[in-house]
Amino acid sequence: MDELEREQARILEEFRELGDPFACYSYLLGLASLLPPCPEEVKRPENAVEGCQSHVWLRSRAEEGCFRFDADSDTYIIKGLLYLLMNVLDGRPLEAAAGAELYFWKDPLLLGGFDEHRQKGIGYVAAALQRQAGQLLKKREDTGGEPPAEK
Amino acid sequence: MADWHTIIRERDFPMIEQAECDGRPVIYLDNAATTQCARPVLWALENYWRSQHANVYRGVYCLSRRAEAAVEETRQICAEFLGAASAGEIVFTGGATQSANLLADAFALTELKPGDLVLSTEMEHHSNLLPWREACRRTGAELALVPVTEEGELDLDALDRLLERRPKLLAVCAVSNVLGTVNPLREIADRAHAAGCAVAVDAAQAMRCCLPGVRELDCDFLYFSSHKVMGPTGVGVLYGSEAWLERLTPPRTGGGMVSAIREDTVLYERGPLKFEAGTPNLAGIAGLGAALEYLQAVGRRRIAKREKALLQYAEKRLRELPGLRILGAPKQRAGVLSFVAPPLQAYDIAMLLDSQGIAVRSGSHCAIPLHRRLGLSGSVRVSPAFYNTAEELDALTVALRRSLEGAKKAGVPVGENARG
Repeated sequence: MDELEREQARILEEFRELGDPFACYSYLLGLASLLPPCPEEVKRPENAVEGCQSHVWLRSRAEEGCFRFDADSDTYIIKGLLYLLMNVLDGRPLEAAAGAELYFWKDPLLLGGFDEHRQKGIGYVAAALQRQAGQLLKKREDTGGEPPAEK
Repeated sequence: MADWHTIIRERDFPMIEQAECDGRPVIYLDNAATTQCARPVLWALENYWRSQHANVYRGVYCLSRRAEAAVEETRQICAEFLGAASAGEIVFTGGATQSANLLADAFALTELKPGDLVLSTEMEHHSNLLPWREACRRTGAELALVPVTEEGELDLDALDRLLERRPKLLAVCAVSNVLGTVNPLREIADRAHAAGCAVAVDAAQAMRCCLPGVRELDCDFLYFSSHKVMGPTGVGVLYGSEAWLERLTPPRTGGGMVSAIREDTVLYERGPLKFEAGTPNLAGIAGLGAALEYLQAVGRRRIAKREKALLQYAEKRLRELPGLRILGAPKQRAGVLSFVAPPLQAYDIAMLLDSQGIAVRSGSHCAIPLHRRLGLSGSVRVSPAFYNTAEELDALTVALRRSLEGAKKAGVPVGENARG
């Protein structure tokens, strides 16, 4: 089991202990405050991953071969999920971040109330992050070095 | 002895009585989005598919004639429900949104030209705003919005100023789907008509609150959806006065709406049929008829009184919760109550409520201009129907209190900044 897989397993274990969906959502509200502050300039339309009811902004970069990103949302529950995604993906080698199989939010025991529609929304965010990791990886391969951080 | 609403809830609304999700009971408080079907509606739908299904207007055989008679019977029921002069003023559509689009398209074809003015309001659902915006874009007409006051009422002085510009039509809701504001429609219609402006009323949220008849309101057009009056989805009504339906050109063409075709001309059917190209939603129409008859049988005044009492009770209970702000303070409110609890977003609150088995709506409720006017990105909306109970609203209050307290414990500063 690699690090990324281990982190997802840890999340599942933690949430299984919480039990019911209300406890899970309340816990996510708390995790929201742990998400690192996001630079204001990230919250631009070009960085937005639009969902139906909440907004998410992402901006990623490569640092010493690793995937790093800033993220924010206008809703606390989604911020809590971004914090979990950050634990899984941020700081991982680009190859691992781009190629990982991400699934923790789909576990019915974790967030029983997350129906398909909501799962899809979080899935879009995860897919956007992995796409960006893939692009950074390709840039590195094309240029033979670290791609410059976006301004 | 049980109250009438307890009896009909248990007898007529199996979905409400048995609602569950993942094995947990659900309290359904999203009736502004859709109401549950009454049992007689389910029977009407079943009866249609079992014994009545045949196409209308094109068959001489018994089943087709029977289906046609059923459609015309529902047209008559709708006319009586709305207080229309005749069934010839009732056009069947796919719902209020389709009604507004059909009307806006017909109006654009027949009435609008570059430089004309059309009015809508800041409190409209997108379905009564975007069709008019599109009609104006296509014709070179201008769309202006009547603003909303701090209390959540239409600014009638601003309306008067706009009416001085002699607009062609005013599209206005009877009841705001966010604030619940009941608009003074007759007064608005009088002012508009004095300026030569036609009035189109979106009554989607007003059909259970004892809306006066269309002649009493003196509106030119009115539309609503079946699924907000205990009927099925996918069907609705566009009322148009006989004179207007005669005058407007149908924007959709096809079967069932033509009386004759010559080499260079087409003669359309008269009345509503010319706006009903293609096969109508026959099962839906049967369900709509049953739904309106059901509301009549239960008693429209009784329903309106019951829903008003529930909404007032909901407002009283929600005002007990610190950190929660109810939107608007209109003189008369019906159907819906929306609130925010900053810095929590509507999505957060709705998810927390959902996890406790309470179904409410969150987001912009397809009224982004109104939320922008209020400085908000969204709100949570509670909309009880007559089959809901005070105990369910108590449960909502308990769940909300638990949610807000849980959020505070998690470090979210709920209630520390009163503005949303």
